[in-house]
Amino acid sequence: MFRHQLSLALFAVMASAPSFAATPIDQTRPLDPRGRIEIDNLKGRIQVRAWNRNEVRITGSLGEGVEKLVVDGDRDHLVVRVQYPKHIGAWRGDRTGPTDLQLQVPLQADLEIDSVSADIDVDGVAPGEFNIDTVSGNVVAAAAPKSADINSVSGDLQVTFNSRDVKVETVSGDVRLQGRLDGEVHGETVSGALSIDSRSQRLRKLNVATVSGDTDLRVALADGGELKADTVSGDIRVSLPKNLSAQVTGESFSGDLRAPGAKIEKEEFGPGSSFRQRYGSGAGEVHLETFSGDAEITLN
Amino acid sequence: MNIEHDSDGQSLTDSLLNDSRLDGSALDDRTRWALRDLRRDIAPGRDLWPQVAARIAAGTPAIDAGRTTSRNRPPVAPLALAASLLLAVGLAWQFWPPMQSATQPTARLIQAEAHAMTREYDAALREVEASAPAATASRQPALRELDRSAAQIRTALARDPDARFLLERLRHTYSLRLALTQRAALS
Repeated sequence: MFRHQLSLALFAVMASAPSFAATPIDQTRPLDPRGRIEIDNLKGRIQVRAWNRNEVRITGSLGEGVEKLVVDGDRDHLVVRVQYPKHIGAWRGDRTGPTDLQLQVPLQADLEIDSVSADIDVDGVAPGEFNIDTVSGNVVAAAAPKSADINSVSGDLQVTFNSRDVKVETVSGDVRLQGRLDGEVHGETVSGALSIDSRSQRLRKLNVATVSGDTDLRVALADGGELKADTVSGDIRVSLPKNLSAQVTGESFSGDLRAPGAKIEKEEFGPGSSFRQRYGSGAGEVHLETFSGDAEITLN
Repeated sequence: MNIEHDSDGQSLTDSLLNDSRLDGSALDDRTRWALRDLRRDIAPGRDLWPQVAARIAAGTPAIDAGRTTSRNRPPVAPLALAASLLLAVGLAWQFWPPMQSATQPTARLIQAEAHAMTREYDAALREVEASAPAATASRQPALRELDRSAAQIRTALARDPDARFLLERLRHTYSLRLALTQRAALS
C-alpha cells in the first residue's frame, strides 16, 4: 500500500517537472521572402544562415530546464523564442542550460535577434532590416542588410556589412566593423575599442563617439561627406586617402592633435588646442574633438 | 541619430537662429520650449519632467499627493519618455548655433544644462531603481562602467565647460544607464 502511494507521488513529481535533458529541435514554418523573423534566446547560441526557400527551418537543441520553444506567427512575421521558467534568477537560482538555436531563413527576410548572453552568428543574409540586441553575447555577422542596428552591452561585435546604413553600439564591448560602407555609419561605445574599415568605399556620413574607448577609422569620404569623431579620453586615429578633399578641424582640451601640414594652435591662456586645415578643394567636412585623448589624421 | 531629418527640430533651429533678441536668460526659456516642442510628437500632453518621473514610479506610491499612478503598468512607456527627454536635450543642443566669441554665456548654459540633466537623471534613476530588483550580477559591471563614465564626463565638463559634445556624451550615457536598469527591471 505504502509503495503504491510512494510511486504515485513520484509519478506526480516527474510529470510536473520540466525536462531535464537537452531536447533536440526540428521545426519548419513557411515565411514570405521578405517576411520578418524575431529570434529570442537568453543563453547559448543563435546561428542564422540563408537559403533559397520561403521557409524558416529551426534546428538545434533546447537547454536543460528550458520550458519550451515558442514558434508563433504567420507568413509575414514569425517569432521564435526560447521560453524559460518564470522563476529563473529567483531563490531557485538559474539551473537552465544553454540552448543552441540554428535557423535557416529566406535570404532577404528581416531579422530581429535578441539575447542576453547567447552568442550570435549570422552569415550570408541580405535582410531589409537587421537588428541585434544583446547584453553579453558576442556577435559575429557577415551580411548585406539595407539597414542594420547592432547593440550590445559587453559583448564584442565583429561585423562585416555591405550596407548603406549601419549603426553599431556597445557599452564596453569592442567593435570591429568592416565592409563596403558607402552611406551612413554611426558607431558608439563607452569604453570599448571601435574600429571601422570602409574598404575604400566613400562614406556620406560617419559619426563615431566614445567616452574612453579608442577609435580607429580607415575610411574614405564622399564629396560633401561628413565625418565626426569625438571622445572624452580615448584616442582617435583616422586614416583617409591621399586625395582627400575636405575641410578638417580638430579640437582638444589637453590631448595631442596631429594632421598632415596642419598648424596646431594653442590657447593663449590655459589648456586647449585646435587646428583647421583644408585638403584638396575642401569638398567634405571632418571634425575631431577630444577632451584629453589624442587625435590624429593620416593620409595614405 | 539622424538629427538632420527631424523636421520639428529644423523649424526650431530656424526660429532660434532668427531671433536676434536672444540673451542669456531668454535662451534658457527658448531652449525649454524647444524641448517641449521636440517632445510633443513623442509624448503628447506630458511636457514636464516631474510627471514623467511620477509615471516611472508606476507601481510604487505616487511622489505627489493627489496624483494617481497605474499600479500594474510596467514602466516601459514612461522610461521611453525619460529617454526621449534626454534625447530631446541632446537634440536641442545639437541644433544650437555655435557662438564664436561669446564663450562665457555658452559655458554657463552648458554647465546649467549638465546640472539640470544630472538632477533629472538622478530622479529618474531613483524611481526606476525603487520599482526594480537589484541588478543581476551579469549586469552590474556594465552599470558600474556607465557610472564611472558619467563621472568622467562630468569632471571633463567642469574643466572644459565650452565643450558641447561632452553634454551629448553625458546625455547618452545617462540614457544608456537608465535603459539598462529598466531592462533589468523588466526581465
